[in-house]
Amino acid sequence: MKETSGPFLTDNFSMRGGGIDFLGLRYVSLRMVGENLIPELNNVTRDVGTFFLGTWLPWKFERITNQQTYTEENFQQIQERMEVALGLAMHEPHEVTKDYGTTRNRVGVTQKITLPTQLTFKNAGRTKQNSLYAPAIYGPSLRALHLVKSYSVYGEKQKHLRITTACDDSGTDVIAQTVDRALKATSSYDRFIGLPPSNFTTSDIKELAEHGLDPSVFRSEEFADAWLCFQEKLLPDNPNDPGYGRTTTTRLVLCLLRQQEGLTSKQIRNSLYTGLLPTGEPVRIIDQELVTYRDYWALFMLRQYQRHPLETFLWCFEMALKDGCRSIDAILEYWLDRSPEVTLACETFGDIIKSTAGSCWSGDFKGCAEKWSKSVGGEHDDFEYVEDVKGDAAAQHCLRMLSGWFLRATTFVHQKGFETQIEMGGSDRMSIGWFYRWLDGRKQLPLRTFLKDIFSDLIFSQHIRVALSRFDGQAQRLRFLLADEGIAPTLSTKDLAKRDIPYMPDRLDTLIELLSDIQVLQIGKEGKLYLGKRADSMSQSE
Amino acid sequence: MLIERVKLSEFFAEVKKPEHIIGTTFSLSLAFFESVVLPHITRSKLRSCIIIADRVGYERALLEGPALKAAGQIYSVVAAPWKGAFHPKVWLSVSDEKIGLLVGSGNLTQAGFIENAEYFDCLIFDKDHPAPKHLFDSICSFVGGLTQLWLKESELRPVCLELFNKVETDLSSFQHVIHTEQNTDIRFLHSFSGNLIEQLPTSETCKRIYVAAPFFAGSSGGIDQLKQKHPEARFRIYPAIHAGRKIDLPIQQVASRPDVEEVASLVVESKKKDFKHLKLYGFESEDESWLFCTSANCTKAAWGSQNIEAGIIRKVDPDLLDLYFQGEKVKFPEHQLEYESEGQHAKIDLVASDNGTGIELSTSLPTALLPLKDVTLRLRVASDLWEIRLPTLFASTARDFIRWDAFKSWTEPRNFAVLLELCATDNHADKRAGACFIDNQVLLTSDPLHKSAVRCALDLIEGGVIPNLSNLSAIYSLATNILNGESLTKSRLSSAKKDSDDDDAVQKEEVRAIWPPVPVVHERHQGLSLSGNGQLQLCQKLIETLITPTHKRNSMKHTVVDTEYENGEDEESEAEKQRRTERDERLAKSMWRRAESDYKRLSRILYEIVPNQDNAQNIWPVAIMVFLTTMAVRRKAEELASASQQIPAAGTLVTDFRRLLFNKRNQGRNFVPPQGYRYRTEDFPPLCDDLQREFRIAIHEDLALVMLTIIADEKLRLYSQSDFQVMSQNRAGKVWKAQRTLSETEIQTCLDYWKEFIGDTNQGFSESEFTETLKRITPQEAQT
Repeated sequence: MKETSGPFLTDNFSMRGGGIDFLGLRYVSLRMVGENLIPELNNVTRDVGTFFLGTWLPWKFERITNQQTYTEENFQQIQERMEVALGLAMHEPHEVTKDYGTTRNRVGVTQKITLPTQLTFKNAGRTKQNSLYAPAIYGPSLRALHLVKSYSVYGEKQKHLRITTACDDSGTDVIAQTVDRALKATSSYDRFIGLPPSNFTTSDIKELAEHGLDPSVFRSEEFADAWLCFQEKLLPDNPNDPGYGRTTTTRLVLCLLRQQEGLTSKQIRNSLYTGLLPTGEPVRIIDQELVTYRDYWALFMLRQYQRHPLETFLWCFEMALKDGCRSIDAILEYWLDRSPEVTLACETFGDIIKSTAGSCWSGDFKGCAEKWSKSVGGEHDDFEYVEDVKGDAAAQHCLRMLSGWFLRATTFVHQKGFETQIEMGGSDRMSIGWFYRWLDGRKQLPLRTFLKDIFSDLIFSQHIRVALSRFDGQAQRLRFLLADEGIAPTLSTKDLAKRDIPYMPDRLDTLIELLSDIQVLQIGKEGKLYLGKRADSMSQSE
Repeated sequence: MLIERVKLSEFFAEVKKPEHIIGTTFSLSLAFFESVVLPHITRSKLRSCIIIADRVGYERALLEGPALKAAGQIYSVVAAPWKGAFHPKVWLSVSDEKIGLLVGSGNLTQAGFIENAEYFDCLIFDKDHPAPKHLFDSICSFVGGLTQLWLKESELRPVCLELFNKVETDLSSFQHVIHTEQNTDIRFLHSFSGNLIEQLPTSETCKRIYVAAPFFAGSSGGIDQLKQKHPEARFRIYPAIHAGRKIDLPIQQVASRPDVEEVASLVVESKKKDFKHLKLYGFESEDESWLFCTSANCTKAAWGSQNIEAGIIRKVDPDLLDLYFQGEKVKFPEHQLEYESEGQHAKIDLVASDNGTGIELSTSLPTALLPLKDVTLRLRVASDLWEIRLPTLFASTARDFIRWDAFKSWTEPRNFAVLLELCATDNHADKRAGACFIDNQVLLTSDPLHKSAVRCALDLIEGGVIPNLSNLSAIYSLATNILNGESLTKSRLSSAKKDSDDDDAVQKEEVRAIWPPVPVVHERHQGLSLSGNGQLQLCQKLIETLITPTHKRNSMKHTVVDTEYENGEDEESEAEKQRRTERDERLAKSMWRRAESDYKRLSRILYEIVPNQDNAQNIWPVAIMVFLTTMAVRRKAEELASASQQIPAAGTLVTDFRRLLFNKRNQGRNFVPPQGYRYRTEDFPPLCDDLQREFRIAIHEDLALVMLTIIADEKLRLYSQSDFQVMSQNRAGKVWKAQRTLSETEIQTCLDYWKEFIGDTNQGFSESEFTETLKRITPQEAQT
């Protein structure tokens, strides 16, 4: 800035907007999933065939090279060739592969390349960040499932080189050999794995796709041997294995399906949460280990259902700001105007709990909570989750959801053994325990005060705190702050009150899809789940 | 010709590495300051950053209070003890080479700094552009005036008073940027030098005055004052329209005045739709024209002694007035602006500071209203609330002290501002309430290196926060300073450049893979075993921060990364995800590289150190501080980019650190001990033994738990249950001098350290295996 010759106007220097999880609640959910429920997968690792191909490439590279040709450049060339071909292979269902359905996560299909040409990232307009092996895609899971050993090798002078290596156990070997055998049947195989650069045509890709470069091919029963090896890695037996949570979750799903087939994944989650099947029957689990893991799932869902109304209140807050409210009081009045029912029948949050509890109310909250937990399942009309609540009744829905949540949480917070999950996140991230106590301490406050506290403490302050804590110098996460005239949206917030209410996917669908690929489960119409042909390969001690 | 638009961030960038920043404002958003402005202020040399706001603005800003991170920690924010409006919008930035002065109409809010139509003026002085003496004196008198606000007007003694002194002292050393020419074409005017209107250098024969302001206090009083000073002047008035429907001037009355030529809406070409909060005055005479960019509205209070205001006035070419003051005819609304009344409770002005053991509290209430009775004191830190009730406060004077332990289960705040709220009844039985931030004396008044080190430690223990790289180096620099006075930061720039050059070189150099391939599972083994008084106190504070038990600070375990890119919930595009992934990898790499090089250097110092009476007692704490810091950085880097190839396994670092302290330190065959050296051979004894044998220095029990954790981890990782049992016990015996088994709390503490700093998820060891190993190696267990 040079000294100016006179007064000047100001210009915008705020950073671009960005980010998700504006109340900081997602971290605890992610941690619960990552530690106990479905570790080491993510929501995009949805195809067993892609795991197979990701394993085969480094395995093959080591076998086609020697001391001179085992270089970063050669690996990169072959990796790019395989990945670009993979993207092309998944573009559309091929004649032979269509029977197996489409690949669910079609990595790299947005690439643009005109054949015939050499298959490189440059030609396809891609970067290594959307590579199959990238951290946000299959990279960490391939390593966690012991299919890839490392993404680098030692070089001379203690340098390390970016060459991926496959694990050297027999299971990995079987998987890689299976892929190799399949691809070997193609006419372009030698060029495909050859070190010299080569052009590929559409028919080359089609042929490769039909022989396994389209990952859905590996859903064919002819690859059952490889499935078995994959299953051993996906579902480890050893309770000390960091991935053991996948095994217990699988066993829980099978356990539920044995009690009631045709459940959807949503029904499975709610059955694990409430302990009640959609029929209203209690879930029966005998194995103590599974009982514990069922509780882990219940606590995770408790967190998910805690977050939902709070995120909706954030939407309410933004909606009021958008319509010109500039103070907490104005926001409160705005919602009392839009949802007058809120204060019509109930004076306190405690009254709302009683009203929500209905016939479960027994004179005291603890007793009521027990009845609630025994009778209100996921299909019950009063269940504490309402999916789409945006609109005039949003505040009313949120209060009802919170009251149901409070009753459900009462049974957990008074049990021993769940302290870690209950207090996970502490006050910073509104742990289940902290939030329960927050609600409990305000049960008798007038509803206006209660709602004002929600908007003030749980939305305004919490959001600013989270946004400031996560500020990284790159993107502005603040969506609103104090302005001259009161609270106002930040300049960088372009989607005020336009976002969907966030809901964190929990990887259960991913796990189910992988299990269906290897026929432990079967996915039917409308996402209904059934025991697969190979369901018995899992222990039945439930 | 358009009027220039400037990003105010450029002002903060212009004065590189400022030592002092002072900002004054009427209203403010501290969330805006922390997230938008503060990132543009380089803090490596920042010794003081003070924001002074009007009481009303300050009180409003407290709404954001519990959410803030840096208030009272990195910067001090105080309400000016002034009965009228404290209204100047002045930013002063002082480095060892430059002084920057920014003066204008915009408050410290998004609207004031970015959105509104506001005018600012700016002056920069350095040795190439020296300041006329009168301007320099005005700046000094402005800072002096701020100080006097507290010294003259109240009993309040905020920490910022000490900081003002530093600013004044540093300004007094700026003689080299002053020249003696009496060029008075530019002046910095402020109310501390008298009524603003009297200071205007404009001529009595001024024939035309242009007035653009949003507030007139609903009257033409401000215009009348200008008229008194310039009796021949005719006016062109440009009032602002508030919220599209209100105005703060009796338009009809003013428009009908014979001395008013025009009442119109000011045209601000590039900010047509924005609220015109600017306050700009033009004065046109036969022989000179002046342009006054100020905070002063056209009110009696602003021109007189009621308010504190400031502005820069320049002599300008007459044509320039036409550029700034272009009016357009509009139909002004008839509604007059209304002023809100104050709240129900009488207020208490408070300042509070944390002196380490408690809160030093002072009030400006007159003694006749003291003591306060039925006092409720609340501390708000993030989502947490502590409350105590006291029968009386300020019993004998307007100052009092409250120990931290008066607040049940109080835990020292980590990375958050602390807000104090007080409700009480005064001596006249009136209810009173007040609130303020608690200033952290140590952080606000310590030198930049120490501030940075503490910030880094706080960032390291907090989930989802990435420490600033220069703060990271500050910890290592502090350690180096304690050990031998050498500063790491000195050569930071050159070494960073060298690092990046080296990287390029590595990429260009052809390196062959080892054949058959050897996967890097635990990554490369770095040669870490090379070896590294008030500062010691700070070192202890840093260690305390780092080893605060996990359960007390809800720190997130590092196995799950608080990244935002996991697919599913997010609404981000693929491209954004890519950008984030790339950025995280870059951050992880640079963060680890910085820590690694500093750690190596300190390790080298420790490897070569010959303890003496002066430094012996510092070695354990410094070594452990450095180790914990490095492990915390490693964890952070791993969180950011779990697949990064740059981050070594925790076990590698643990073993190297253990060797550094327990093994002989061989200096190489060519090493000849200099004359007077305590050591006579190239084999220096293990530090642990040397400190014990020669100086009788035993490691403090708290630190010993860290060392036990290290020894137990190594035993668990490298040896079977029976192997090297005695060796591990001997090592443990060297640090754990207490002749007793570890208590359950101590075991839990070690487990916390292990999980927090060491335990690799891929090691596959359970917590129970660790604690069993720990029990087995402690001396007492060994005897049984």
